[in-house]
Amino acid sequence: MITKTANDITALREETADLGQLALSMTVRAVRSFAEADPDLAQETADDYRRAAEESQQLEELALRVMLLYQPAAADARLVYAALESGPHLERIARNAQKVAESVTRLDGALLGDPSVGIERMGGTAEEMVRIAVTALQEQSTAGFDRLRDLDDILDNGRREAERYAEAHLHEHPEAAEVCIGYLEVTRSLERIGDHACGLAEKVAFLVTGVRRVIDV
Amino acid sequence: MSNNEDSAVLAARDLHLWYGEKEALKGISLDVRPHEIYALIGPSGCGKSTLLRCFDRMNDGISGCRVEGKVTFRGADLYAADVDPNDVRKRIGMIFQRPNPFPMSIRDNIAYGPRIHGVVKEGEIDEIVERTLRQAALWDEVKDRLHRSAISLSGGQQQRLCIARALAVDPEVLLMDEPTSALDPIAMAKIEELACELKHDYTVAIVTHNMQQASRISDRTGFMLMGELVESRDTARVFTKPQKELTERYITGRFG
Repeated sequence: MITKTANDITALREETADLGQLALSMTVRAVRSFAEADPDLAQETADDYRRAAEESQQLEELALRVMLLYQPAAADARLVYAALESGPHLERIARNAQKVAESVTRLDGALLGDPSVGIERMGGTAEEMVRIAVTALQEQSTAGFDRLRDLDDILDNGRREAERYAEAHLHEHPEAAEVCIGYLEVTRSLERIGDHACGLAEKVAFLVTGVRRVIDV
Repeated sequence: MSNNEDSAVLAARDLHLWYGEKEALKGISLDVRPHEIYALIGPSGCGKSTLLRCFDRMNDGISGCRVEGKVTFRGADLYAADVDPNDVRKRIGMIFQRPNPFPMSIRDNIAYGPRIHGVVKEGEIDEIVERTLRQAALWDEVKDRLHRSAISLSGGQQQRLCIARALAVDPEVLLMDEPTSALDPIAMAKIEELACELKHDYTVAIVTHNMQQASRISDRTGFMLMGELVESRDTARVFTKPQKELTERYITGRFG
């Protein structure tokens, strides 16, 4: 393989991994900023979304260049596919992490009864899902993928429980509407992070095995 | 005989071939199935063309060439003592890298084979000429100049003429040894399109260095290296997720 091609393919692999790392880091910090009601960490996390969006765009441009210039095959073709398909999932994970962080800023430490325990569990679950998918992307493996569906169910159930709790809470405390909405936004964002982690894992599965696999049904 | 070998049009089993002391094929076993395009890929000198030529016994005339193992055509041993190589070549046509029309008219190029095999009526020859030129997607381009020299045709037209010439003796198999490597992209595309059409009536085995060509037109692909068949699988699989690391390295250009 000529050096120019090899360099671009290496760059594609590295940029995909870097964007994965950024999306994971934003998820971890967003969840922590919620758990610790840390507005500074929330702001720092939200600010990182712009970088994630830019890296996602750069990744797409590089993947298209590799595809159009080199007509890659086998592992290289799978990498191009994975990069093109993973980029949007990683960007969406980062976007939802930003939303969680922005909600933390808006809530400004306000508490909604005691649903935070459930949300913290959702946060840990979303973080774990992103870690599984991103680590697999970086290490080109499918380790942990068997657990993703169960973890995704935890997020789906968590969101439904949060909705029920918020509905009941609003009957008793109509003045807490804004806080309720803030909490629901967090749960929705965490659930979406889980969905995109599943989507990312599906692309990684193809990258590794060459066979399409459906995780999030 | 295995079931695969039974259903294959062409089959090799533990095929070894030596050029003098040099072992060019080292225990090749593969099947070419009916109405498929089977592509052989691999670096220069790996034995692709040698293997292809075993299927119509074109190595027979090479001094010091020795073959062991089994090569069958529709289950019958191609190297049996009572097999006439000329009969083999009638049923298994070969298209070479460089177009090699005879220095005679377009019509006579096509008529050459049928005449050798006993077709003498000019009306019958005319039918064969039109049929095979149509099959080779060349009729419309040459129908008004059938008596002109074949050498006056472009390279791509000459190669299609050679395909028509091969079809004129009613083969069952077409072997193509890098048939487009001397052609421009437009002529190459016509030959590829033609190969895809021909597989409905014939079985095609093609040697190519063009990886995209193999992935575009073939149903199954075999990767050869240093006289061995490393991998033989569905083309989509070979070019998506090869089973063998060597194949992956070759088709991604990381070989050597």
